[in-house]
Amino acid sequence: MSSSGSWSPGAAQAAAPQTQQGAGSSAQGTVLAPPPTGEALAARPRQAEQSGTRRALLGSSDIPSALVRWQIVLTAAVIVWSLLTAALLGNSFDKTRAGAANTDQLTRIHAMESSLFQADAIATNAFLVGGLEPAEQRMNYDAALDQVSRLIVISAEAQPADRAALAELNRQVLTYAEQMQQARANNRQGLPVGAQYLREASDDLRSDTLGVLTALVSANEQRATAAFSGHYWFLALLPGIALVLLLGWFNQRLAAIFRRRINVGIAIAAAIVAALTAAAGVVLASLASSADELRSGDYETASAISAARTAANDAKANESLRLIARGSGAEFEEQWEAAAATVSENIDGRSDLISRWREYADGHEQIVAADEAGDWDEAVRLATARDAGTATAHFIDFDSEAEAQIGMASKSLSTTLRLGSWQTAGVALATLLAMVAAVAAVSRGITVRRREFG
Amino acid sequence: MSPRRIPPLFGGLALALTLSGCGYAPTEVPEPVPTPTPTVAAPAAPPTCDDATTSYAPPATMPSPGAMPEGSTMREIQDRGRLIVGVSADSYLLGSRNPQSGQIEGFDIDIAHAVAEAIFGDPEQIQLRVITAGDRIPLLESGEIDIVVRNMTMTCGRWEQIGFSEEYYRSGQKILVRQGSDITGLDGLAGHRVCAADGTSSMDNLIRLAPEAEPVGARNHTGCLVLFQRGDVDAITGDDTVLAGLAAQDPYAVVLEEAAFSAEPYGVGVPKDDTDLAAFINGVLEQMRDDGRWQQSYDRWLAPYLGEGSGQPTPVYGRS
Repeated sequence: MSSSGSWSPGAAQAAAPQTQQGAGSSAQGTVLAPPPTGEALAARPRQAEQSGTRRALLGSSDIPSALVRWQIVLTAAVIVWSLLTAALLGNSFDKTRAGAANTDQLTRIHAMESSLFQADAIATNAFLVGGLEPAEQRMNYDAALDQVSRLIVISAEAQPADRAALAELNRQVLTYAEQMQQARANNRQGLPVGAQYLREASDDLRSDTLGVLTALVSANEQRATAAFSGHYWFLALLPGIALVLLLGWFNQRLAAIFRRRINVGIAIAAAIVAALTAAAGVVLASLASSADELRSGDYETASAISAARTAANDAKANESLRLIARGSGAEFEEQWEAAAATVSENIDGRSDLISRWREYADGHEQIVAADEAGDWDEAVRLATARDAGTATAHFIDFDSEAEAQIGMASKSLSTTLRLGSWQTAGVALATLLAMVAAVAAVSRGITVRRREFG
Repeated sequence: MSPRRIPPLFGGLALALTLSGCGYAPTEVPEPVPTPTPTVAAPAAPPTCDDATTSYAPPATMPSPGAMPEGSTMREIQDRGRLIVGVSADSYLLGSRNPQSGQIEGFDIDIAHAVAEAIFGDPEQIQLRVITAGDRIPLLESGEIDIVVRNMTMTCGRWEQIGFSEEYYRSGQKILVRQGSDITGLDGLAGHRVCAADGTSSMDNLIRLAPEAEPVGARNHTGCLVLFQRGDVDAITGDDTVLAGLAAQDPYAVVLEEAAFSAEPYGVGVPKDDTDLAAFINGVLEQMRDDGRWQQSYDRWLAPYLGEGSGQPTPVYGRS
């Protein structure tokens, strides 16, 4: 870098005296110039051009002072460029990290929703059995509610903005559990008021609690989807392009004055800036592209199957409530149909889930047929049997598969977002390191020119 | 371009870009869905008559089970293979689901089984359809159910819409309160929240006889008990049979020992035009009187809570 090309001190000295001569003529004012020759006339435009370049680059200063000022300006420009690019990358890093965290939060909210409706489906089905509640179903009910409580705590720690809503959800879950406990206690004593507590708990779950869950899902969907936009790769190019143009312009003016085409220090700085700008643009463009893929891929999968799983458990609970209502369950059958429509809509195109849901839906049709034919006992037997091939077994199969697919999609989504965030962090760090190299290159390139006057 | 003009171009944009990542707005907490306000409009003056308990004379000879007369309503039921009966599943002692067996049982249910046995020879050829009090008349009118045995009071107004069997039980409206309550009677209800099932004559009587009370409706009587146990209401009013069933489920609830402030004659509801079915049911009720099944059922379900009672009401016939 120190060679600065084929530098000849004579060129600068030839240029410098012109300035000094011009200044002296002006000061003295009495020296008459000889009449211009033809050669001199031809050289005038070039001199005028050089004079314009000098004024643009140097203003009214002498060359060493002007070079010092330009070194400061270019150093500042390089620092601003690196900070600007790093800020853009940092912005995407923040968004992506927040997106991953919000996606995790959304997954937890969906899991809470599904677990609550799963608990309700288990409780209503166990109630239908009559007599002592099967130990396995009781255990599964407790596990589902424990899962909800655990997720509420984790979610409240993860997202402070959700805390008020989660506190309300926690209150309602406790009320639900208390009502179910009342239902169970009365049921064990053979008192019909137990059935009323069960109905009221299920009703409250579908009105008040579902409202809070819907608000949580909506808020976290908005936060999570913000990670899929705002990766402005073209913005990352603008400061870099501006700086490269500035360095190029400076190099051109310097070449015109010092009669050397390329200042190696300036050229290296421009190359560093161009390379890092391109890297930032590529990373952000890649992030934007993968965000679009995630939105229509894993995110869509996790959201749709979560909605389907919640609706499926709602349907199963309504199946039991229909039979508990015993012949007067038309409203529950309507709710079953609405929930089933939600399931079908959200598993459209997912053949493995469709086949499992159809098997359960066929079993449900048999239950309804038995109930409508007046054979309530047979309908209950069909609804509560858990052997292979029964409606409940098919339902559990669907629920388990849906849970597994949600888990896979959510994990993939979170992993991809976190990977993207680390890529942006890496380029941001590289940009800051490149700043040091570019500043050094600019300094070296200008220092070499200044030394020619030393 | 002057060197002094370059830095501000970058500085402003850098500042704008670094000012990001502020916190999220708190998630909105929705208001709980308000509980629908029960319909508590003052009832219209009930139609009056002097033959609300008058029904149709039973057939001179009851047809044998499984051999219902051609063209009769009972024959249609026999051909269908099951009797569809609207019942309650939450009126303890009258009609409620036994959580242990899953079966619906009670005094009303025994009568329903007796009718099924008279038609088919098998008391189990029956479909018990759980209905609310408000469903009783609409479902009879639509023909979705054959009969209603659900502590249904025979009133002149209802006779205009449906038919009834003879009176099979004489009930009366009373008040259930907490132990130690300052409510001692109908007059004491003023200013208190009192629950009754929507669509029942009990609610009509409450509004008419205790206008200073605050009526609270529930879908059924057991819904009232839940409100009572939560402290949302101070008292429940309804038929003594229903209140006995509620009190049996809550050791802190007592039925006031005042005289009933209304007479509630229970009849089996039938579609208005099915007079042959009403007469047939009257024949079944008389068979129950004769062979002691009515008394056995009363002794099993109601006597432990209501005492010996006055027995099966004397039938009044003469309606045509």
